[in-house]
Amino acid sequence: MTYEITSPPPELTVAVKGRLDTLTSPKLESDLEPSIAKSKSLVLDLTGVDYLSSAGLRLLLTLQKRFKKEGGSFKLRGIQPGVMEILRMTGFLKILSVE
Amino acid sequence: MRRTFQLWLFVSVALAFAALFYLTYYLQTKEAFSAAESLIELRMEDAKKQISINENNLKAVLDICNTSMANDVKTVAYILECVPAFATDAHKLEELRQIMGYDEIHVVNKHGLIENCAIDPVIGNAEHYIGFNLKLHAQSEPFVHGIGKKNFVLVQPPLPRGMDRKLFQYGGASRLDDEGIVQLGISVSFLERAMENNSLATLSPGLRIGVGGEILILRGEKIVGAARVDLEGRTLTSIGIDQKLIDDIRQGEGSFSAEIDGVKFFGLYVQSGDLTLVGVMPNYEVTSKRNGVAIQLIIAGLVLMLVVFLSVSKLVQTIVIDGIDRINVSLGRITAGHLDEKVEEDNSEEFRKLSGGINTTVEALKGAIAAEKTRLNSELEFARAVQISALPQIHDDPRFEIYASMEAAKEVGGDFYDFFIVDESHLAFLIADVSGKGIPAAMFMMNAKAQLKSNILNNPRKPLDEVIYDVNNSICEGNDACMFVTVFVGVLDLRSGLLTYVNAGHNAPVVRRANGEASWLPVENGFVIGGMDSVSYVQETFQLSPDDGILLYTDGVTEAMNPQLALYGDDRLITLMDGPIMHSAPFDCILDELKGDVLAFADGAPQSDDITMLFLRYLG
Repeated sequence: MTYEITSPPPELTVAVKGRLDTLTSPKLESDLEPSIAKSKSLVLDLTGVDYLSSAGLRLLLTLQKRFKKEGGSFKLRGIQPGVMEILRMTGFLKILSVE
Repeated sequence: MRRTFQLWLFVSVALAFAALFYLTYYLQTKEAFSAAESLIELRMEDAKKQISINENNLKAVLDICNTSMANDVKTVAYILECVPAFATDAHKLEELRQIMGYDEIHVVNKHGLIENCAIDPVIGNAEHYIGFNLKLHAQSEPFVHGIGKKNFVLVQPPLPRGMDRKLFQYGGASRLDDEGIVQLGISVSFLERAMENNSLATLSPGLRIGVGGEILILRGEKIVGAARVDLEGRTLTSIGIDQKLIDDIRQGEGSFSAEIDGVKFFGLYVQSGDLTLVGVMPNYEVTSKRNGVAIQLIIAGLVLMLVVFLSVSKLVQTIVIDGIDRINVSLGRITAGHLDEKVEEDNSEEFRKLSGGINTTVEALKGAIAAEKTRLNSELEFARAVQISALPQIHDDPRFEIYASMEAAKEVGGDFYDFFIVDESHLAFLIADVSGKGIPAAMFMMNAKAQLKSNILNNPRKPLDEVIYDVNNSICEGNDACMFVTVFVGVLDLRSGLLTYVNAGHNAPVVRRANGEASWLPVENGFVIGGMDSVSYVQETFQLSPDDGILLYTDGVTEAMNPQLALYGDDRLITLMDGPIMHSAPFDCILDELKGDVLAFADGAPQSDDITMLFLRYLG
């Protein structure tokens, strides 16, 4: 998993590439923490993400709850079919905003 | 560390070299001045001797002159006694003068008056001197005292006389024939030559010291002898020496530094009779040898310093730094998790100890890790056992058959299934997958399982979606870790075959008809349980006929991965289920067939998730 901050805080946009699983999701979360702390909104560009495990889902849920609580916005972009299927199946599409 | 060491080494070596250089320079300077002092002393001693020899020579010449003059004048007195005519006859006296080779002969009477004289015509006319009173002339006056005395002889030192100030010497003796004196006078030009030959100025070549040094001979403040002829006649003041030093120089002896005509000189002075000898050497000449030594020393020192620096640097690099680097590489590997790495740096006792210490520590660490792993494994095994023991046992009921299987991954996972009789005509069954792994997932799972079971059992009349709504809210409470669980739960009316179900984010089950055909169970994808409270779920129904079955499974099946990282996938699942193998498979073999297909697909790739399956056959 690699990522790139394509737009800095406070309108943070992060493009993620690779798998979001048990190993990579916590790393992404801790890496982004300082930037997220300064941001009002976050867009995760998942164009390069081909697999999302339950740990990845958990990261999305954590971010969703956090931005909702602070009145910010959290959106997903560029969701690939495989990931879309997981989000659909788990009902995450019901609670997440997709651009 | 290497940089720092090299810097310090360089500074130390450079300082040592600088100190050595300074010391040598200092000693060489001292030595140079001391040598110069000895040389000047020696040369001054020589000069003194030379001056003394000159003086003695001159004195000997003067003595000879004086003695000869005394004898001659006494001879004249004797001749006058024998031949009185000489006293009166100017012509005879002139003849005598010519024979004797004197310039003047005076015959003086008892009154001090010249009564006869013979004078070289070049000097003057003898007649003019007749009657000259000796008393009236300072040079002649001393002879007057001899008048009337017997055996009076006086030879005067040569004195300058006349317009040309030529040296002229007079001698006189008592007359034997009468009272009075006879006088001889002679121009002593040879004496002048002798004095010239013996003058201090003739010492010039011998007054040189080295190349630029010399001895200055002073009479009073005036330079009367020097190697450089142009200095003769000048004074110390005129060559730039200050008055105070001049005062010192003119008495006693000692050394000094001064600038002469703009050049720095080192000098010594000493008194010799009425003369002062000043020996000087230019500083550049005094120190020229030292400067040569200094340059050689600098070159040798720099080479030595470079050699010392490079060799010590190389030595330390080889003995210490390389060792530390190798240890650091090993430590890096150990830190990266390669605990079997051994540090084997043994080129010195210290490194052996350090290596030994590190190895022992790593061994101890390995032991501790192994012990901890064992402990954790036993705890996980225990947790796993608890989890498995919590799974329901298959029980005999003529209305249905249940087959379940859970292929646990290495780690404690969060899959579980459950089924239980709700009332006499209803069977509840469910499958779930908790996000995450390990003890937290296991605990979350136990809680979810208990909540689901108790809520379903306690509310048999409540619509299933509302029951799940309650379960979700209950689990969400205090779920700070954001864990969640996907659940498919169904309640089968055993009398009618009507299946009521709620899908909370779980994989859609597969329905297998009595004829073997299989298809997806249509499901509304509700949100996972535990993710967010107050989420509503949708309750759906599906009519089963006798011998219809339903397959529940977790993503351990569809997300099983092969070595090429491809997923097993929904398509493969439904194709298998609807395929010829499953058509002919007995009910009790369905799960085994599925599991076999998944494992065959995985082709030895490690199983990363629990593979959990449940097959319910409705018998009617």
